[in-house]
Amino acid sequence: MATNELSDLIARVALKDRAAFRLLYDRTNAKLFSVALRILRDRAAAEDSVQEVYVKIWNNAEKYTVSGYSPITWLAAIARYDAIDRLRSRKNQAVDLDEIAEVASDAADPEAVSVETSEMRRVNSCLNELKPDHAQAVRSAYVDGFSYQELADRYKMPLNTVRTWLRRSLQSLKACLER
Amino acid sequence: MTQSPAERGDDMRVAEYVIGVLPFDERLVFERELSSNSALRAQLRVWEEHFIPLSDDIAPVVAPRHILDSIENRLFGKPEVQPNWLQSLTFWRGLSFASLAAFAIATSLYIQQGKTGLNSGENYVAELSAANDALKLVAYYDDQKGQIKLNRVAGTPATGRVFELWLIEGKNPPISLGVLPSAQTGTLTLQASLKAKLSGAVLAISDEPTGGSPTGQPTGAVLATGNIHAI
Repeated sequence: MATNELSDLIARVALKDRAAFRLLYDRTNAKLFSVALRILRDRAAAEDSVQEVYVKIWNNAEKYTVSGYSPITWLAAIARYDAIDRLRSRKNQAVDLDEIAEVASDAADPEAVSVETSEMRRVNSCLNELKPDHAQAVRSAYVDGFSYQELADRYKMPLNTVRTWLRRSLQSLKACLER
Repeated sequence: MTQSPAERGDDMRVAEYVIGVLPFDERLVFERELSSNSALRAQLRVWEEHFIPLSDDIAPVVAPRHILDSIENRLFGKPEVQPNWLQSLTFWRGLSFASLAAFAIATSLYIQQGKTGLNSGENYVAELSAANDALKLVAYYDDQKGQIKLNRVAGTPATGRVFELWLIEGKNPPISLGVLPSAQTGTLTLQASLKAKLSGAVLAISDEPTGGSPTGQPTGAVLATGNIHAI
């Protein structure tokens, strides 16, 4: 998926062009829905989230053009924040592992939007410079929406200890990314 | 770039926000700070761009079909009358050239029979760009309102100059559609008599003195052009 093409579609959506909105939906819903599913671990919740996300995209597309974001980063950030806010405000945060497995086995979309490979190598190679546990914690937080509490449970450590080493990991990561 | 300890602290809070580990109340507090602090928002964008490749680890899952209907229902009221498959990329990609020709005939018959299943108005879109992308504009003609909506994605006129939009139909002299608004987005009203000329024509932007071309024809350089497509 060409970045320019997505940018153009968002620019047209900012003009309330409904056909562009549908195209943008066609091209990005698999990416954004999978992000929501992975974080929310619940199909119905992810469906609610993705609807809200496209409403936000329609209403805020005008802000995109001046934001300086690459299109997929902007779109995915809307999806991730909506999902994370739903997850964090949800009372029962029990993780249903069966649900994750079921979700992960769904068919992939051939039209999937993916990120440039050089950038991918960069964040991944920088994560590889961290201790494996620490790298995994950063990934799980970003991809699975794990909170500090969930990370603390998983690594059987006090929450504050986890927070300290995660922050330290983020600092090392940043130093590497900016090298 | 060297950061002060305070900036480093902020930066780590931004990173924690981006990866999503913060408890709900802390997220809300931080979001309030973000809305009033442009430096934090700039750091946010940097972190988002750093992390986005990790999202490629998630296998894409197509959302169920009814989701788009629900979204459009929420945004536009009743669902669009245009059949879904007309807009579906997979549908268009799947058509061979021959079937496309057959489809064109079938659709034109469909329209000639006066069916109202398709949009009654004719809407158009054009994407105008300069070779180096220094100027880029998306124009969308909304038949219901008789307006051209404009979004200038890149490029600003030189001091004391303006951009003027032109309609060029075949070899006829350009027709001025007006001076582009100075804001990034805006609208121009299209004279009803010009509507019939849109199909297959070209839009162009020229560089003109303040107030627009004094002669009624482009006087400065033509900076960007784009074909008009019916949608």
